[in-house]
Amino acid sequence: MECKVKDCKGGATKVGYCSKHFATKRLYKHGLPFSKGLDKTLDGLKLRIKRKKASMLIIDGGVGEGKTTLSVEVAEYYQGSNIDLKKQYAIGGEQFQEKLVMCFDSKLPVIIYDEAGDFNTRGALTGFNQMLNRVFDTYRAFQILVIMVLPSFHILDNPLFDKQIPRGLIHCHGRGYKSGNYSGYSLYRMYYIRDKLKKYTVPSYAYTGTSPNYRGHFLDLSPSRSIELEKVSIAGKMDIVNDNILRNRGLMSYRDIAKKIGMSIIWVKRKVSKLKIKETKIYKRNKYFEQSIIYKLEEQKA
Amino acid sequence: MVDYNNDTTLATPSVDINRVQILERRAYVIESLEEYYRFKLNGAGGNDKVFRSRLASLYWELQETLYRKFEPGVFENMKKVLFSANSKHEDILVYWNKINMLLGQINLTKIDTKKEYDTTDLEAENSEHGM
Repeated sequence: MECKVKDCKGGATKVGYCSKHFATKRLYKHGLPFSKGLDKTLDGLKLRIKRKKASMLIIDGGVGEGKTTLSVEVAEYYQGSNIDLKKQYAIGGEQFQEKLVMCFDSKLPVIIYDEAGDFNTRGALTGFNQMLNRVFDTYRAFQILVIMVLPSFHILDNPLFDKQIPRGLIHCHGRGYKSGNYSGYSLYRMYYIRDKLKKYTVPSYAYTGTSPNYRGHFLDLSPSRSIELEKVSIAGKMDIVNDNILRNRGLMSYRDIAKKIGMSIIWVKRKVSKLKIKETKIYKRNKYFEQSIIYKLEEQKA
Repeated sequence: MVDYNNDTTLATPSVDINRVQILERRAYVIESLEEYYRFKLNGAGGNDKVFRSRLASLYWELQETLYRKFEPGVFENMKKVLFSANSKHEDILVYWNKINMLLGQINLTKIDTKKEYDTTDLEAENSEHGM
C-alpha cells in the first residue's frame, strides 16, 4: 500500500501514510487527529441528519484552548476530506447565514459557525436572534451539520435548547504545546452544566462537577493547514474589529440602517440614491453613513 | 398525599405501610434461614422452626397476592406444605424460593430497573432521556 499523499511513493503504514507524512499529518495511531470516542458521536449525528433531524455540535472552551482547531478536525472527519474554509467556515451570525446557503448549493455536509457568542440570550428580543432562530427552525431540511464554536455555551439563546437542536458539547481545556484536551457531554448532561453555570462562582467548576461522557485529546493541525486557517480566522476577526471601530464613530452600513428601521437593504439603497445622500466613508467597498440618515429615511417610510 | 376526610395534607397510603411490613417479614425469614444454616454447618442437627413460623407470617401478609398470582393448585399445595408439621425442609424451601421470586416480579425487591446503554455514545444517552 502506498502513501495517501500525492506523488509520494513511500510505503504506507496501517493509517495510510508513510512515516514522513504521518508526522506532518499530525494523526494518532488510529488514523484520526483526535482520540477515539468523538468519532462515534459524529457517526451518530450523521445518522440523525440522514433522518432529516436538525443536529448541531457545540465546541466551547476558554481563549486559545483549540476550539477552532478541533472544529476543523471534526468537520474534516465528518466530511471525509479537507473542508473549504472559504465556504464552510463562518465568523459571526451574518456570515453563517450566507455560508449556510453556499454550503447547501455546493452540497457540502458541514459548516463551522465560529465566534457564535453573538447569538446570545441578551439579544433574545433582537431581530438578529429572531432571524437566526428562524434559520435553526428550518435548516434541518438542508441536512447540514452545524458546528458552533464559542467560549461558553450557556450564553446561547434559549429557544435553541427548547428545540433540542444541540446534540452534544465538546469542552476544550488544558491545551499544551502539541495537543489539547476535551471532554464530551450529551445534551442531557448539558442541561445540568447549564444550570450549574448559573449558580457557581467559578464557572469552570460546572464542567468538572458534571462527569463527561468521555474525555480525549486532539493534536494540532498540520503547519500548512494551520496557517491557512489562521489567515481566514484573522481576516474574519479583523472585519469584526473594523466594523466595531466604524460603529464607534457612529457610522452605519446599509445593513445596519436596514436593521434599525426594519426595511430591506434594497429599499434603503434605493432611498439613499433617490435622496442623493453622500456616504461619510467607504471601507472595503462598503459605504458608511452618519446616524442622522435614520431620520431622513424614517420620513420616507411614511 | 391529601387526606380529604380531615383536611390533613400529610398521610401515608396504606399500600406503602404494607410494602414496608412485607419487606420486614422477608428480612426476618432470611435472618432465620441464616441462623439455621449457621447451626447446621457447625455440626448441630439444625432446627428450622423459627424459619417455618416466620415464613408462615410472610404467607399471611401476602395471602391475597399469592392467591391471585399462583395457579390454584400451587396455592393450595403451598398452604398444605407451609402449615404441616410433617413437611420436609426441602419442600418448604421450594415455596420460599417461589415467594421470594414473586416479590421481585411485583417490583418489591427489584432494584436493577435502570436500562443499560453505552454512555460514551452521546446520541444513545440523549435518546434514552427522550431527547
